[in-house]
Amino acid sequence: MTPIQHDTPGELAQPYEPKDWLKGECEPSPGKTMPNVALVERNYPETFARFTSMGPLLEKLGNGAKGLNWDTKHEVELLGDLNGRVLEGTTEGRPKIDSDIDACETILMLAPETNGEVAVKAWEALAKVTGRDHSHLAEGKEEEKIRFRDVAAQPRKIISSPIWSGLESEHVCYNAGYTNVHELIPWRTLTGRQQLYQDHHWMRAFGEGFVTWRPPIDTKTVRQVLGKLPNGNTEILLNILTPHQKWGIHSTYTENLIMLSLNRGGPTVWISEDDAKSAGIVDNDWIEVFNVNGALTARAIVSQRIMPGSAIMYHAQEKLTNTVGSEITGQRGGIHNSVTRINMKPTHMIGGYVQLAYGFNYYGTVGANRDEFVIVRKMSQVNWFDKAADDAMNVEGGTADWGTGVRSDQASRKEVAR
Amino acid sequence: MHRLSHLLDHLQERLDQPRRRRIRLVQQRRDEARHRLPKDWENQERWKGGWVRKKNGKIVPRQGAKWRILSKIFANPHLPEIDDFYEPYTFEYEWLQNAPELQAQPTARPRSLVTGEKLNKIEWSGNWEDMLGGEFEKRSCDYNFEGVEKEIYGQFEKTFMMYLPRLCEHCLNPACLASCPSGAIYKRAEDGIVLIDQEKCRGWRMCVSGCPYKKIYYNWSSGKSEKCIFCYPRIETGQPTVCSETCVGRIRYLGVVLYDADRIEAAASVEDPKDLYPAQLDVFLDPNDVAVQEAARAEGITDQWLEAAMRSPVYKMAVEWKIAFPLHPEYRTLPMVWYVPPLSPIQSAAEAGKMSVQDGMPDVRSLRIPLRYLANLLTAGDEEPIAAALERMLAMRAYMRAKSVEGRIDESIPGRVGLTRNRIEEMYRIMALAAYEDRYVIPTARRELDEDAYVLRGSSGFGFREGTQGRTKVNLFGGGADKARAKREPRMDISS
Repeated sequence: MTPIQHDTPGELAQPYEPKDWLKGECEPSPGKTMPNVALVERNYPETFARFTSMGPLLEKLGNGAKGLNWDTKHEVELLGDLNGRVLEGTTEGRPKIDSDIDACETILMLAPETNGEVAVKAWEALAKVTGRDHSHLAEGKEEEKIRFRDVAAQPRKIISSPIWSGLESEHVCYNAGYTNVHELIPWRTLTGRQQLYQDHHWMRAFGEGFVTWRPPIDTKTVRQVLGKLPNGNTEILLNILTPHQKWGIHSTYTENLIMLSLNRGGPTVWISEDDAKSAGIVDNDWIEVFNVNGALTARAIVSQRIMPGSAIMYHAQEKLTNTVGSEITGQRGGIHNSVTRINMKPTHMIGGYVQLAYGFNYYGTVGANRDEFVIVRKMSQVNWFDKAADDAMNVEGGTADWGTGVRSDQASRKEVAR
Repeated sequence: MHRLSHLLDHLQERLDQPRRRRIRLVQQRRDEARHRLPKDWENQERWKGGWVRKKNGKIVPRQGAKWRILSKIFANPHLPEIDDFYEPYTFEYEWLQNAPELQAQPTARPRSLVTGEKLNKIEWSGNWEDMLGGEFEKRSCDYNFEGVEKEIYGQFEKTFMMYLPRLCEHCLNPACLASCPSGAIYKRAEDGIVLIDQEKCRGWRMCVSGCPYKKIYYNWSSGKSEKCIFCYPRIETGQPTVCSETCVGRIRYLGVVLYDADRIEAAASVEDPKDLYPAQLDVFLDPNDVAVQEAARAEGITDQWLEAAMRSPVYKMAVEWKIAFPLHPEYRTLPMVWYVPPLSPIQSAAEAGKMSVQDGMPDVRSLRIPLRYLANLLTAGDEEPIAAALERMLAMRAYMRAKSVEGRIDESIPGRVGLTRNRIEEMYRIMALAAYEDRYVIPTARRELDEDAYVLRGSSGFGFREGTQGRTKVNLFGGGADKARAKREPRMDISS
């Protein structure tokens, strides 16, 4: 099953009021009221042979994206000439994709950005949709082909393509949405324009047809534990944010010595001077941050740049380094995600409706995790928990049972090899 | 006749450019001793770096003239110690793989690189106060807050920070050179680079305390002091230093500045510290002046170097546009790494209405980084030159905005800041477009003119290490050469 995709006819199959066949509101009909269903045959003994060669469907169906489609037989032919062809077996005669370089050449050959001939075809395909002539955007590029060894030697300037909304140009920097404006290409929305209003009935039901501000929801994660597991220090409530860190993207690891020498050498949580004062925390104190989701330990960075009421723990600070044990859990302190939990937002589950269509890593039910509150307090006992498992029973200041008196690990104790 | 020398010195740490703002972190000290490293380094009352002017108008190194230095060579009270920097650390990464079953998932604990012992808590690092980390009260014991009403800068809305890349200043009047009992430090006549002769260095470390920028380090393995060598093997072949070449913000510039060596002592000895910056400007010579060119040729300076001096981005920034300044001129070292002060956002949106903004140019006194703070850093507290520099950069921004966004030339802007249209366009080209060729104008060395190549035949090139393996033949403490060179011990031994 594949969800109804953006840029396909299916995205408009249910205009105005999408119905739910599961509730009996309509008949289930693949590609219209439910995901597409396709039969896929697998020949498992041939997996490797197929994985290392180009299949026949590109010639049959052509290539494309964003609802565009162009013929690509010539590129498949050229790829066979370039990579060589399979000599025998079920994939005999197909272009080879044996090595990593072959795989790169395949992408470079098929993509309009790196093959001028494809770029021309892609702009022509778009012209059929818009009724306008875009050929000047790839003019003179037909003979341009970027090969693996070109990019290995030095960075190359790529070719403008309708897969992107900006241009590779001497006159303007790459700028998203540029071709929509200057080539009069409709935006890929229901209206074809930049659209602020969402008319899907769920959006209207939630009062979110227009952009709006919503206060943090009560995730019910702090009240149950606030003051219940005291260590003698003041507990304060803060809204925790977990943004991307400096010198990294996404979850780039920061546990190597160089990165740890460029900051404070281990997990840290930033809090404001006001909040620190009220909780009796000074810069570089060990603190514990917890709620019912979990607990983490780190050192506090007290800073005027943090808005009172909030705490920041940057991404990708793993508990692999310099993380003491938690007074709450009796385990190693957690990481930034230990105290957050994804809350699914119902309106994110809309799918199969024009631009509100599921796309892997593009659109779907992403978590809304900015509403999380945590309890922050100074730690009273710093315990590294680096004794062998046998000694674990004698741990002071940590209870793995959340104060219930029941130990779940009694049965699973093992002999420790020393 | 002026004696000419030339200096391939440098740079402008261009802290700001119209499209990319580079800001320097204000790192300040904690209690008495927390600061950029070594903590509180700018406080020469404490560290005794640089020079002082005596009542008779002569200057001497602040840590004392030669006889005082000699009296302290066995116990120098002004030498920074390890805790003035921080205890370097590593982590017991192997433990993550070697640990037996534990009461909790293992974590790699920090260990001291000095003692090898486990550290319960890391107390400081090379970037401790980055992004305004630490309480304002501790950070604000900053030398550069002198004369600034700093209390308001502790508020959330009044935060400011900037970065200050710091390395050897290759001074015209180096205090390290004057402090060395062994005569191991020298400033190269041909390009102005300050170096430590590793053969002559005896490890007395008076240069470490003498340098007010604290940019000489003692190598405990070789027993020698070491410093930035301005990548001289690259410079000699016309290539920029590695720090310049690799800077993604393109903030560093390298170019030739001609100066009159005979005027250095007088310039470093002017009475009012605020006059040190203009005095140093007076030492520089105009490479476009025919008389200067003739004198330079008479001194053996090649036409290639003269041409580089005329195209020098550093000369333009320092002398022609006056937007670059020496770092802490009050140390009387006449540093040759100059800095362009950073622009910063206006103080707050709430105050934006109250502020005078003329043609997109806000009043420089309403910028977020206090003018006095920058002046304390770059002009011994004189705010006027800093204000003028910031105004010129704001004017460049306003002029280019009118030109490229609104498509009009605003004739009124250049005159208001004492520039011309062409000057602004030139500033824009060199500072904002910042092409490689415009940033680094480096003539190649003429070794055959600077030394007798005949005696060098058969030698091992730039091998100040190869020839000696870092050992000195004589050791004042009686040990043999091999003993004098301490082996670097592997401190980490977690598996045992």
